Amino acid sequence: MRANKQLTSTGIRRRLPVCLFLAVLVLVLSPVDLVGLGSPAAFAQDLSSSQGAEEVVHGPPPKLSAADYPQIAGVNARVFVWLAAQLHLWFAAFVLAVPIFVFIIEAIGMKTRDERYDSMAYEFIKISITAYSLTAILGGLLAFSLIIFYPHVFQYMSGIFKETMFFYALLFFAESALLYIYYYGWYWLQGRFKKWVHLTLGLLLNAVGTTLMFLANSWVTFMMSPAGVDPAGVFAGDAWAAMHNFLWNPINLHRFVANIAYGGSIVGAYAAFKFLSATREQDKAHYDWMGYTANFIAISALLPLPFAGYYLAAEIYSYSQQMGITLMGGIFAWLFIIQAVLIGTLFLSANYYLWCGMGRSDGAHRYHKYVKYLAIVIVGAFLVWFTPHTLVLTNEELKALGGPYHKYLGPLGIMPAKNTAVNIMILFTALSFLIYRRANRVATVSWVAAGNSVQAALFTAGILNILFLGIYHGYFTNTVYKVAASIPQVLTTLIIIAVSITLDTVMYRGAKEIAPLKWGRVPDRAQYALFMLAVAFTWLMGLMGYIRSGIRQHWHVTDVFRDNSPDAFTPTLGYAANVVSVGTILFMAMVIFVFWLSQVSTRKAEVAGYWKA
Amino acid sequence: MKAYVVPFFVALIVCATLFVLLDFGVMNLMGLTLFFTP
Repeated sequence: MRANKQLTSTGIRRRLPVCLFLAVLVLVLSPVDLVGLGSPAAFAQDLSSSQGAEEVVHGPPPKLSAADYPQIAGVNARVFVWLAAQLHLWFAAFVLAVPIFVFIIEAIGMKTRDERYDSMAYEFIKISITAYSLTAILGGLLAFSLIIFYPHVFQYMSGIFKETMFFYALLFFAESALLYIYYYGWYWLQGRFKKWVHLTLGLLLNAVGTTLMFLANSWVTFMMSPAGVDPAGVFAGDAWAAMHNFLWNPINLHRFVANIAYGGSIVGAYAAFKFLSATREQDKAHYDWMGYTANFIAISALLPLPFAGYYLAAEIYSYSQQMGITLMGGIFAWLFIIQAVLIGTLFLSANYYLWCGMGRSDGAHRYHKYVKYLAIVIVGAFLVWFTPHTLVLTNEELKALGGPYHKYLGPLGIMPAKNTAVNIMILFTALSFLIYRRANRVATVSWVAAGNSVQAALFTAGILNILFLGIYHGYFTNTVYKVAASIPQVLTTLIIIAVSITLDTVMYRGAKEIAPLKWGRVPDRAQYALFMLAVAFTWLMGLMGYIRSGIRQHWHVTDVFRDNSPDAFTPTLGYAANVVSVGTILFMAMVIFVFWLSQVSTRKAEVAGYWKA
Repeated sequence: MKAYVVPFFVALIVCATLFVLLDFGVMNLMGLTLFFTP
């Protein structure tokens, strides 16, 4: 009895500092959240109360001339800010995404009590720590370069967003503190109660990280679709109105999903790097498992991403038809063809990795015959996905073709064909996953034949429905129907994936395992597919980020604050693609540096005779 | 063979009907009809 009492009081003593710390943390964080997000008019109220009787009068944005943009040491301001912003964004996307799935993996580890999940989650967060410093450094570089090269733009923006910028800075402290405690406290906060504390810290870290991203998104989307200002650009004083502008939530959703996919692809590249450099069998097995998990995360987020992108594009059209046409029907349209090629590359790489991964199972030979059909459909959908509507042609070529549109391929260049293709590509990627899951198992339920038939019927009926919606509404109706039909198409795809995975889970409950999966038994070329995934994602984000920013054309803030700098023109596509490519190379070099650092940190040189005995 | 064919066609008819209802419902929510009416 006495021993028990002692034990309990020791337990309480141990838990007390953790509880106190958590309570203080919650108290510190909650007012920030409440003021920042709790009430729609919070910022406006804050502004008025802090000003008291004084009324702040906001002026219109200045009318600038080329002389108002400082020239320093012959540096091209646009390219410098472009690269700084892009590099910051790549790293920011990575460090915001990693804690999201680390939190999920840690929770899975807690639920299953399988320590391997915990170790993997720790390794994931370890990579993001060095990347976090680089994110902050690049963020500083971006802020300084904006102040130096675009002082008037920065002044105008900070006049409107001073509250959000202030909260952003404060939240950054909270983010750093939480990240460091989450990482350095990983092995300290172990055990029944402490693990829950650690998981809670992970949740708080994600809440703060996501809020930070939403705040920064509001500045970017304000420049695209300004709100809270009059037509002359005069700010009315309501910061929430400026923040909650037309494109804020579409971008929030798109970036949130895309970041998870991107983070998964980068840690997948890390696992591939470690797999290829590992010499011991158990290390290869560990990094193979890590690479598979990272690929799973990337693909799970990639599948809904085209829908989030479509929603964003539709909202851009809805905000300004001119902007929408510039985006996909004007000068930037050809970048969407490159985008299509890169997205196709992502799908092909991810599927190829899965097919290679089937080699881990001794039962996979039963499904090998289906892989070629999956490949044919995915490649076919990929070809439709990147078929351009028109081509850049000489007069002779135009004459030979009989016009700008190809007789057979022209119809494949419009959105209904692409929507149909991408839905089919997503469905067949999901099918690859189903086959991979089945490769090592034999279902034991009595209704296997009926279950398989129902799944086949579900896919058949769903694909027929997608084709009907794409072909009939795409080619035999008007634009309203064309756009509207994409929604039941998306829903059909989501329903097929959800129902077939649910059915599969029930069917394979208590299934017989053929043999333990042989992690590490995967060809090296599968690891290059993971590298390809990371590079394609990076390049894609850079190109699409350029388009998002570029559709403002000669405006700092669309229609209210004109850009009169010497760079106030849309560069050629080749030039833009080169800048993004240089950015991609710089980023990948930095990422390799981060990977190398994580490798170096585990090495220890034994130097005999150097230290005093 | 029968174990596969019968459930396949039954499920195909059920799924196809449900998908058509889905199309009809979603288009209807947007104030449109399933088939184009100029």
